[in-house]
Amino acid sequence: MEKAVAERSVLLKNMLEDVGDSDDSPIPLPNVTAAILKKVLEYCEHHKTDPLPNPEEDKDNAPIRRGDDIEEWDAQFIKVDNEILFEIILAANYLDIKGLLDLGCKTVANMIKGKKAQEIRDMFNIENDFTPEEEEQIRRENEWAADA
Amino acid sequence: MTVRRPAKKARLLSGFCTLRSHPYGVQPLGNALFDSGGGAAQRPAADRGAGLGRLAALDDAALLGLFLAAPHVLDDGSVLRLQRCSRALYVLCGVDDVWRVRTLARFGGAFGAFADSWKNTYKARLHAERRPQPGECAPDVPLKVGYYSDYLFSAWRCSSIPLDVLCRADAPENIDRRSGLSVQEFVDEYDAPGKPVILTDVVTKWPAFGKWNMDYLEKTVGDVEFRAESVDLQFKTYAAYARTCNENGGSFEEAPLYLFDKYFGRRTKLDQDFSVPPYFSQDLFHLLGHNERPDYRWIIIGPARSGSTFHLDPNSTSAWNAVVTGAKKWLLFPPNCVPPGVFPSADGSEVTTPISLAEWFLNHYDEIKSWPVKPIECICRAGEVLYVPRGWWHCVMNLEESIAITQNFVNDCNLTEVLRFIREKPDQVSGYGSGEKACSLANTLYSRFSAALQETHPHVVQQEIATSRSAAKMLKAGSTKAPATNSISSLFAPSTEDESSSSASSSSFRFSF
Repeated sequence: MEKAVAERSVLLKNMLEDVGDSDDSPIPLPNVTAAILKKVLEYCEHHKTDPLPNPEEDKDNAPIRRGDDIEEWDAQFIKVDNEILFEIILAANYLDIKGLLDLGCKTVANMIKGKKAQEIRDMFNIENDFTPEEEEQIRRENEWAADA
Repeated sequence: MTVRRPAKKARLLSGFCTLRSHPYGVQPLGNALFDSGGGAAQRPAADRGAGLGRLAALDDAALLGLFLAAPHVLDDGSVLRLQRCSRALYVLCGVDDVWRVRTLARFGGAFGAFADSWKNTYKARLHAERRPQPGECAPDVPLKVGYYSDYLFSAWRCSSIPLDVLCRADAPENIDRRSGLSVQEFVDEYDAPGKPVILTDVVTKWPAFGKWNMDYLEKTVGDVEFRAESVDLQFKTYAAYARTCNENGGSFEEAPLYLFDKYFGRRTKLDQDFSVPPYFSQDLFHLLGHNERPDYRWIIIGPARSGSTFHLDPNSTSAWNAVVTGAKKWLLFPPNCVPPGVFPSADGSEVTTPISLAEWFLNHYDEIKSWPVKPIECICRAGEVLYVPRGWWHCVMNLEESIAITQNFVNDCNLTEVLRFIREKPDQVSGYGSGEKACSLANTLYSRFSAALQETHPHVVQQEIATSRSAAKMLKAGSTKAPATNSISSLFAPSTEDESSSSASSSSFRFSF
């Protein structure tokens, strides 16, 4: 693949700098399956001409992030099963591909936003393993504040 | 009949201590193999798979780092609703550090009276803002549901292991302590060669000494804003937070919020209560003018367990750090000797270290035994001031609640190193904040400083360039070792040339898989 595509991953970029252009040996990526890697590369290929994110961006001070308006290609790209979605997030995290990580995380966050607790359970197949007393206590503690 | 229980003593057993138990019942992952899965009265701990469902694909670090502690990704309300979904999510969403991040993100320094946890502080502050009031706001009562997690348990361990055990407070000290030094003696024995020292007769003469404490500061500057990491807050707000840390015996958090403020001089009259020690009176960045010099002085206040992880001071400057109240544990490694567990990038622009200073002490302190260069190790106490020469890697842990003043400076002893640094690494110049103007000031620091030095130090700028060029030539000509820029390194390094060149800063960090 093109170097510009691979360098969307800061991890790969650093590895390539360390190894040098002349070396043709394969780079092992034990934490990423072939299927997910394919998806990740699809993203990198599409975004290869984007300006690279500024590593000094302080995320604590970041104003409203660009990810809030997800572009159309990205929105279609990220329409995948939950399982694939989480694998993409983990891969993007490991490979340090900020745009893809932001896209994946924002997608999950939007799925959760505004949903009630039972709706969230149903969506992610979460088992309610509280006793009724526990559940009631936490409801009392959190409910009023959750509509912020 | 009363059962007498043996007094709880902390014993260091290959890194472990008996700790008080976690409010949510978090235990290390390995314990899952031994626990019987519930006796007669006890329910098994929360099941991660069932309690997270499809979210279980993300490990605890990812769930916390990418979502729960990321207010710009996932809103607070979502976390509060997630917390009601299952016991596993109850524990994860209840991690108090999540609520520290969210409280500061949402309310900045105006988070009001500090409750007994960040989550309760958040709730109380939110409640105060709501119209109409949504009934009573009772503080959370932790439910001990049980959860196995190395990630969470490690953080818990870092926060609750007794500090004197964690930081080896009784380790032998190997720093000079001096009093009655003339300025020339200080220069000859410490500043010129770049050797740390504690001076014991300076701070004790300050008006601040014996006068300053948290109560005094709250009374005199309680309404003034100070900087604590990412927020500005009134001193009284910070003081209430510090009080909670103290009430928990210094085990409230893994890395307490640290007050580190550079504007106290213009916002208060506190600088009238101390003076720059005569040994440090030369301050060449002063030539740049007050508005165009890098940041140079801070008041530092923090509870026990607050501190700074390993770092080099900015722009290759030297520093003095004076403890007015409290006690600071220091580890200092000589120039070009990187500490264990610390991984600077090849050019030094980035440094990778463990998540917290406590974690460094837990996981890396013992490596010092086999490290080629041993650090200076000491505790700087109230009334003492420590001199940190340029280029020394150091970390500092507050063993008690501490109030200190620190200043960085350029003088004749480190001028060459400073010029070299700001000339060769303008992108690593710091002390101007961020933004366009800051960038411009950082990029022009070398040219402005060289110009400012023309009158008093007409040759030093050219000399620095010349020695730098000849050093580069020597390296190119094939000598394996660069000429020592600092003779102190050789005092601390082992005697063979091979070993000392392996500790040179040129080794780059490589990820391992």
